[in-house]
Formats: sequence, C-alpha cells, structure tokens
Amino acid sequence: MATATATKKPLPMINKDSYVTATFIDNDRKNIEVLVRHHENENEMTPLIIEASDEQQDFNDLMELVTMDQLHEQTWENKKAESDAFLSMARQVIADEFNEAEMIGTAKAEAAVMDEQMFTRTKIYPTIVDTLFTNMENEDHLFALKLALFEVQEIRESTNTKAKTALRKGKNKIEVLRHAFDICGVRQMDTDVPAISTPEENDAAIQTLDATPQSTKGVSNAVVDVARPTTTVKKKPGVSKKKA
Amino acid sequence: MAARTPLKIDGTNVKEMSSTDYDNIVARTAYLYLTDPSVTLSVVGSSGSLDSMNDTRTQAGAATTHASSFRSAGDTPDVSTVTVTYDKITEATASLSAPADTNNIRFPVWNNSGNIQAMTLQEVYDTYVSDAIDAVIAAQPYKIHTSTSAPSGYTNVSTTAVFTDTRADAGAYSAGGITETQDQPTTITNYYLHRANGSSTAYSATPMYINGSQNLQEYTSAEFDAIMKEVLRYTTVNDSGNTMRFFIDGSGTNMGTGMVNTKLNSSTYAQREVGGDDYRTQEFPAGSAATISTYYLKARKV
Repeated sequence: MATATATKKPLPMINKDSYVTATFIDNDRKNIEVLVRHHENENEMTPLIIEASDEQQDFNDLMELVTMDQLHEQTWENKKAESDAFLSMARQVIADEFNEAEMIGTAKAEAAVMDEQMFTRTKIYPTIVDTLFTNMENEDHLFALKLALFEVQEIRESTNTKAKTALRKGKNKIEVLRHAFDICGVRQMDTDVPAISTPEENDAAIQTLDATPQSTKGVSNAVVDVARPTTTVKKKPGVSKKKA
Repeated sequence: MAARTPLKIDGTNVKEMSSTDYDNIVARTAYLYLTDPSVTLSVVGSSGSLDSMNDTRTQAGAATTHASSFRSAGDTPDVSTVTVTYDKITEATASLSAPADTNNIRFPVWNNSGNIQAMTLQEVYDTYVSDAIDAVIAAQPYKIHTSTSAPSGYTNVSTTAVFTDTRADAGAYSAGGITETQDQPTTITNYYLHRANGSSTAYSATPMYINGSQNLQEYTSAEFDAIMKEVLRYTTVNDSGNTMRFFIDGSGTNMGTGMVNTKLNSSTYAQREVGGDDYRTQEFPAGSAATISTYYLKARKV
C-alpha cells in the first residue's frame, strides 16, 4: 500500500513575502503589473503582468494582499511620478537648448506676461468651458484634469476616501469634477480677488443669451459671441499693470 | 457520465476511497502528467501554431532639408509605427493509442450494489480525467517569464524570446544628429517560455484491482502511476471536451506573466542648420510609455 505523505501546496508567486507593489498598466484597468521579489535574491525584482479578473488565481492572490482602492491609489502615484519625471526631463531639454542669456531674457518676458495675465485671467473661462465640454472622456484630458485636481491640497489631503476613489475612477470630466466638488464644496469667499464688474451688469448680459432658447441636441462645440458688459478696470492695490 | 468510487483496503476491510484519497490521486496524476506531457510547447523561429503577437514602436519621420528655411512641423513627415510580429510558440500533441483494458479487469474496482466489478476505461475517464486536467492547468504547465532563468519549479524551454517589447530610444535622437536614422529601438522586456517540472505528490491510498487469479489486489504506486499517466496523456490529446490546448489570449488560465506591448505616446519636432544653406527638420518619438496591448499565454480544456 502506498504511504500517505503530507504534500505541501506550492507557495503562490504573489504572496506576502514576495509582493512589493502593484499598479494598473492600462487605461481600461484590465491588466496589472505586480512587482515580486525573488525568493533567491531579495534585491532582484520581477514584473509579473496579470489580468484583473477573479477567474485568475494570481489576481485572487493579489487581492489577499491589497484592496482595489489601494491598487488605484498606487497606480495614481505611479502615473504622477512618471508624469513628473517626464516634465522634469522636458525642462532639462529646454534648458539645454537655450543659453543662459536667453534664459534670463525668457524669464523677464515670462514675468511681464504673468503681470498681464493677472488682469486678464477671466479671459481664460471660454477656454476652460470649451475644454470641459469637449473631449469629455479622452483619457489624456481626464488624466490631466485628475492630476490638477489632486494638486489641490483639500482634495489631496481629504479623508473622504469614497469621493477620492470615485474621482480617480471618474470616466468623464463632469463626473470627475462632481466628485471634486463633493470633497471641496464652496471655498471661503474672503480669499477672492476683488471683482471688476457688478452682478447687475453681468446678469443683464447673460439675459441676452436667454432670449432665444436653442436646442442643444446634436450641437457640439457651439460658439456663441457674447457682448461683455462695459467695465472699468479698477486698479488693484499692489498690482501694477504693464504692457508685455 | 458515470464516475465511480473505487475500493481500497483499509486495514483488513475493503472500503470505498475517501474524498482525500480521491484528491491525492488527482494531484498525483497531474504531477505524473507534468513530468511527461503529451501536449507540449516549443519555441520556433517563425510560423508557430499559436496566434502571433505584435510589438509596435514609433520611429522618427523622414527628415526634410531646405536651402533657405526650416520646414514647419506640419510640413515635416510625422513619426510612424513599426510593427514586429512574433509567431514563435508552437504546440505539438503526442500520437497515442487509448489505454488498453487488458481482459476488462485492468482498472480499479468499485461496488456496484454489492457486486464488485472493474471500471471500464470510460468510467476511469469519467471519474478522474476532468479534475486531473483542471489540476494540470491550475499548476501552469508552462510559464511566460521575463528572464531566461526559470522560475522555481520550472525549466527554461528556450533562450530565444517568444516576445520582445521594444520602444523607440528617445534619448538616441538629437537635433544635432539630423538626419537621424528613423528606427532606433531599445528593448524594454524579453519574454521566455518555461516548462513546469511538477510538484511531487504521493497517494494516500491506491485502489484495488482484479488480478489474473480473479483475486482483489491493491495496486502498487508504480502500477497505478503507469495507468493514470497513460490515461491523462491520452485524454489531454484525444478525449473531446477533456483535451487541453494552449492559446494566445481568449478564455482560460494564464500561464505566467502577460506580455506587454508598449509604445511612446508622443513626438517632438526638431531643427538643425548646417552651413547656412541646409535647413533640416525631423520629428522624433517622445513622451511616455503607453500600453498598447497585453498578450497572455493561456491553457484551457477544449
């Protein structure tokens, strides 16, 4: 008769000792790269690509070690690090291309432009609106929007993990912003820059838009010219207007 | 479908085998199969029988030159995509005859309402094969791995990569080098095929059979090993519904790591003036890596 021998189940490749980190590698969140440490050599790590499917044992092993939320968080941080690294490299390339004198000249010009922009920041709104209402689900846009939102301290440091997770997973810009607003709410008004127009003037101008209701069905990227109310630029204390 | 519960000797009594006994037979059978598989994979130079996989990368556009001014970005040829097809995994199946049922008493006995009788070959299939093949697949008979060094419990099949992910080497392109060679790739990851050695498992008990003298006798481990290995080797190739095959993608259990095809997701426009009358421009690959596709080697019952 054959003797009974205790058989030890082989240790899964992804286990608490081998696991280092894991991140999604695609926009569809269907594939995950898991970094696992070699049991022979602790300093050597191997990337293991697995399917995000509970039909795959590797994935179930991973889910024993991290939550889906942590996986999204790690992916987020990884993408941000990659993005920062790319920007840093791009800046370095630009710096290499210009000599020091040019850089100084550029810096002066940039400062002048910044001063001008302080007065004309409201002109950015048509661009913001156009950006928000086009390419709603474009992954590059979504990523940039999410990155920018996570630069907001209130969002980054919020303890509302449910809203943060929803923001990270948002599939379109409106959804993403909705969750951002859930986290931030309306900020305190005492930090606002003084307005240069009045509510009455603005309301009157906006009413002209209401005069002819139009169907928006099938219309995209519509451009409407709106006459701005006549306003007088009030000089703000501490800010001098320069021509660029 | 007629799965049977074989009989074993328990001390001085004849008993039906337990579920633990059954599980150990299945695990042992899977191990035996892995030591001598009948559906095998190998690495070939081209035209493998499994589906091919594409590695894509960007390459620089063609450079422009003009005697008096730089061509604009719009007038400079765009970066383009280079595709390399990998078709290196081929599957082979052994040519086997069905296990012989010598004198109709070769296989384990079971209790048929008081009559002890030997299983037919079909009953052996119905009792063990489906679960044993599931165990083989779960054990991952092959694994894709990013090194020629085999993972623990595996042996490298070939040091030729079955898939290589390449990307444009963005650092290799410079404005000062225009006209740059268009395709300047760098290897990101090589993927290799490895075969499982099998993890040894022992029987907790072996069944009984009817010997040539018409007596009940317990199989030795070696005798029962020979039967179970023969059965599984045959069925994985020939028993429709219980055969095992390998695929690239589709349904099934993943064999090791996925193979990722990545590509730089952007481009940059560069200029170079040579000698005052030669204005050159070229577009180079740039940006960060984007995952284009992920391929998995899979096994499933067919």
